[in-house]
Amino acid sequence: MSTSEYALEFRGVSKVYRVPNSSLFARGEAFKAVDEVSFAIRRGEVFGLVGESGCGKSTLGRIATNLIGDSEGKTLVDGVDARSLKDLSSHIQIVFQDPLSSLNPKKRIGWILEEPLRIHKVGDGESRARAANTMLEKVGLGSSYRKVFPRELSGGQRQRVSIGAALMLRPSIVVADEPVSALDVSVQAQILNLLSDLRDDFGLSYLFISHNLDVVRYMCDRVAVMFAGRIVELGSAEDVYSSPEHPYTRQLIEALPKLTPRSRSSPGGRREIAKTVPVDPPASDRPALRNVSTRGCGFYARCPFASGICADRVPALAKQPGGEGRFVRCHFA
Amino acid sequence: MSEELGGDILRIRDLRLSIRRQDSYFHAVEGLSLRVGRGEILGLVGESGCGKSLTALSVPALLPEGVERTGGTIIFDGRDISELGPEELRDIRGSQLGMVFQEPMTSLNPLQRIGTQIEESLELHSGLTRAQRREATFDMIAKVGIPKPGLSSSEAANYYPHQLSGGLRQRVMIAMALVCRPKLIIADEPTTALDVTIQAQIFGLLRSINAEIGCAILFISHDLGVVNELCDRVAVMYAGRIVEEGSANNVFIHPVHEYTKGLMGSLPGRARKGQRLVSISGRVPPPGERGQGCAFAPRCGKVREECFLAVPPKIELGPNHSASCVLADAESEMEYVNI
Amino acid sequence: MRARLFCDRDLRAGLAIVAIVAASALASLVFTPFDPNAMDSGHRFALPAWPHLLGTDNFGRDILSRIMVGARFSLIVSLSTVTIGTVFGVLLGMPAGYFGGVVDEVIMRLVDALTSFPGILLALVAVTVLPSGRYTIVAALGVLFVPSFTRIARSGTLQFKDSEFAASARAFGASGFRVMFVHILPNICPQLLSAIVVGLSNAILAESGMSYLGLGIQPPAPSWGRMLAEAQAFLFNSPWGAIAPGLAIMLAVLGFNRLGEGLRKELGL
Repeated sequence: MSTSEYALEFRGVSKVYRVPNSSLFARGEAFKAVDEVSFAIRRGEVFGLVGESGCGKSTLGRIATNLIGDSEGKTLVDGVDARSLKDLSSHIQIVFQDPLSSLNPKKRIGWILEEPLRIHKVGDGESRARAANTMLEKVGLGSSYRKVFPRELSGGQRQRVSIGAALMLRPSIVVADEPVSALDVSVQAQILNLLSDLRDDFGLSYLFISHNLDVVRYMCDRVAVMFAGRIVELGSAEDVYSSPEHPYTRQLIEALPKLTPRSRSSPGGRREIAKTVPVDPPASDRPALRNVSTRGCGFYARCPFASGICADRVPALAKQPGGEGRFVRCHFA
Repeated sequence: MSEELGGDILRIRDLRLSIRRQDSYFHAVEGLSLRVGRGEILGLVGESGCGKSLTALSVPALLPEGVERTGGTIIFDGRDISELGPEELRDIRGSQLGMVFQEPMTSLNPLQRIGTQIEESLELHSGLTRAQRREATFDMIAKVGIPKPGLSSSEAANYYPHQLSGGLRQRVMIAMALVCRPKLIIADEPTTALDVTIQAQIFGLLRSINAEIGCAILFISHDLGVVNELCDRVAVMYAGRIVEEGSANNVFIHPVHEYTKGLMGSLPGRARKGQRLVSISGRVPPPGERGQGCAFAPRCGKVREECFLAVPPKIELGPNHSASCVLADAESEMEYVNI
Repeated sequence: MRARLFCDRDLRAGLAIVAIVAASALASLVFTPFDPNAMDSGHRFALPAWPHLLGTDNFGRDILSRIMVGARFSLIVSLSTVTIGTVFGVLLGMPAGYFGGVVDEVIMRLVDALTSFPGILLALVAVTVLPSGRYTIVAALGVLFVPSFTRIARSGTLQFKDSEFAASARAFGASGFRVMFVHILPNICPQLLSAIVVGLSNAILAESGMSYLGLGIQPPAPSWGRMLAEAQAFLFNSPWGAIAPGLAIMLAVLGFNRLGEGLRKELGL
């Protein structure tokens, strides 16, 4: 398709929401959902974007597909500025979290799969139907599902349809926004397997957005951790998972429920997580809420290691010595 | 803490919950027996559609419209509460039995301050005076960790639900459930909607409460890791029945039932990169499509003919591990540490 | 779900009444007991009895026949009115909801202006200005119905415009209009349908009112409202002339109204 090494690239991307004066935002009326994010996803790579609610990861995913406009900075898809790409939708597509609401309840599965082709005037009725059938097979459903309505399918089946629809235009990169979070564990496994298979079949790259570190570690080659609109850590998935450097990443990993055997007979045997994670502050000064005039590190309010400099200056996303492509945004890394 | 303080706080025997659709009944839960020891934390784990939420709701008799208990008994604190009238049940709910649900925003009254809502429980069930109730409310607010430096309990009590984050609202729910010092708390997916760091805090809170007050917790979740973190014992549910039960270590580290094994194999947290995840073929049979035998038989890799004929009996594999599977016997040769 | 479609009482009652009205309207195309315009000065003010089952009016015309033909006109006018309201309502309301901003402001202010216009005044103007015809009233009434349908279309669109399937469609490259009319419109059909049926009942009432005032369907076409107006003078001598059309209007309005309510409940709105 294109000669660019990168399927998707963000250069200094920011998104500021202007909010009319409300009590939640004591000062200023601007809210920075995404703050100067820069990274690049290589062809064929599965890149994870991890963070908790409100960190901006979903917003970033939607900026990449131009579902959210008015962003600052540059987004390049297949090496070309997304804003000047006429057929952006055939280069990048998105799969959403909720299988229930991502399919039009009034349309049959066959119609849904053919729609991307119809919009782009690809082929005729017959060839579109054939393409839809082929895709249904590829996602593990089979052409008998053409005439079915979404409400007749289970969550896992619906998610397969969503994935299939996203691939109809043969994009080079797919943004998967929490694709398995709403599914049961056993179905989750099926969909993750499917995503891996399709990646091989179609030569895809993924921007895999999730709040679940376990899933991200399993699926992704590299991962970026987001907090308060900024990337705070970036590196290979194994590296970040096994030796996290940023205090937030460490908190995330510590807080992850593990399936390791533990001593239960003594109360002290249980991991004392509560001690390392500070008490949740009330909504009005949650660190996720930040306006353009906030100085300093976004994690300041929750960081057990914070000191003076952290309140004054935003740390840069600095390259770490050692492992290739390891970055941490912390004054003390 | 899993000291047996003399008997169980909750014992459910042969529970059957049926959904009425037009003229026929479909059994959502059948032949379900479980027990929660005093002061124990039991995890009830299963995927959607297995009936775990309905089981939880059946204890305080809060089943939704169209679902009825058509069989079995529920013994709470030595009393058979399955046949109690609405008055007596209301007495027990809130004072001896606390409930925490998944969505605190819909369970809390948006028009009432949180202090008032916590106090309401006390008003209904305890004989305390107004002043004493206020005192107890502030105590509880402090205990669940709502205040922070600069915000006292009494100030926090004046907040409305929408002014709090999800994690804090859930703490309010817990405070409401706890304020009358119940003997058992039933928590139905209380942390599913919360971020993982907040979730960890809530667990710390539940454990410290369990240690301090000694109330038992029946914790329902679809997340195996969460249950492993929090619970002493765990029961795995599939299609309306318990298929495996025992201490968390036994069940998760040495699963015996094919379904439990399948679940453990599907978890990405335990898989290596590039290794294909185990996926159990087929889907969970809905109520009414479950047949006479083992509900998991159609999907089981080790199925035998006898599996379709009758529901397998519960087989004890050790002091703290049992499974409902005809193959369970063969596994009992395995040596493992029972904790 | 299908089998339960006719369980609701409102739905069944409404459907029954509407069926009767529609049946008489259709029947009137081929057969009426008497010629509705045939005057019979020998049998004026007859009481309901065979052969004049509903009696005769001041001109000796058979009331039942006039009621049946009146049903036809009522239905035609109300259907046309509601169609105009719906079509323009959707064309205006959906873009207003979908695009928001200036488009929304302009359209909604236009609609507000229409709402504040007194119906009768508009009807008078229409009848005066437009070429006179049997169905001139439809234009005026249609315009009056546009605002409520616009609002329904708009709020329905707002409901779905940020849904994930709409976002999906946009991600596929669909234009705003395609997303609106191909993707969102089928999802607001339940709301529209219920509103259409209730709109029909309102339209029948409105038409009757207009005809009563002489602004509606022109004589000698028998319209229920017109019949009421003519029978008014003889109310105490011969009430049947007024009771029949009055009951007809009431039943028709009630029928459609209940049907609309029943539909709304069935569709879970």
